[in-house]
Amino acid sequence: MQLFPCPFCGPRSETEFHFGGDAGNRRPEGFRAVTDGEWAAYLHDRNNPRGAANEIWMHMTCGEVFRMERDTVHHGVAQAFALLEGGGDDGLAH
Amino acid sequence: MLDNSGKWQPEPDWASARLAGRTIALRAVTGLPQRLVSGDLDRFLAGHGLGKDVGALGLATGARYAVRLARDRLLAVGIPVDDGWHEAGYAVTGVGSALRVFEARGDGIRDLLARATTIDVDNPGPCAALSFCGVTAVVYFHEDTQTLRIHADRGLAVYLWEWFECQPLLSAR
Repeated sequence: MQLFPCPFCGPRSETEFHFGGDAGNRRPEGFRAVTDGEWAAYLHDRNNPRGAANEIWMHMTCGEVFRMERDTVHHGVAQAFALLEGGGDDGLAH
Repeated sequence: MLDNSGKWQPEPDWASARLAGRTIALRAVTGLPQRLVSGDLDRFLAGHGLGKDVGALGLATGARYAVRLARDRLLAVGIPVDDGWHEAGYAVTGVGSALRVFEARGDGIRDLLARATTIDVDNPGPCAALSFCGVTAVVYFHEDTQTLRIHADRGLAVYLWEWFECQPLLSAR
């Protein structure tokens, strides 16, 4: 069992969490000005790094959405930041 | 003709439903007033004289108490308050019919928690919403640390009851 740190609840089993995608993958703004390539990249392109990863996760039992820095090789978690408290990778909750 | 009803066991009569094992006994608690409160929880707690809310495996006492479910949400039990938005900064939703409540009691509580959850019983955290045998439930102690209360979605209550029946702790099989 792997433990993930919910910024509110503390360490919980990974089975209580849901992956929310790469941090910083912003929805393209502009409606008709958004190209199909930009939209496809937003929907489908993933960083899939080997090593340090920066991701959005949701703790399903309490609903907390947060950013987590972890390593995809040894699965160690470096830090978790609550988006509600401005923990987005650009310093903003979004 | 396809008959799906045979795949599921009928819902027990919750008023009389009981399970008993060597170290633990289980019953359903009915008629408990339950409300979700979202927003400014400190003002809600202060306004109703509730003191601190209860986290995972925390100890609630009496008939009026609050259990923390998330950063900005709690479950208020036994507290008469109108549904809807309150000017003090919180919203209230009645969920008495949405959540079924079970109460387990006995020396085997820690064994039950070990089977049903992955929670660290010595460091459970401030939030009582956790995964209990695969179901998101609200789990805390009531009156003493040998009485565990579990609130789960009503639609999953029969599954949970069947899971309890299958446990060596509670099963006569």
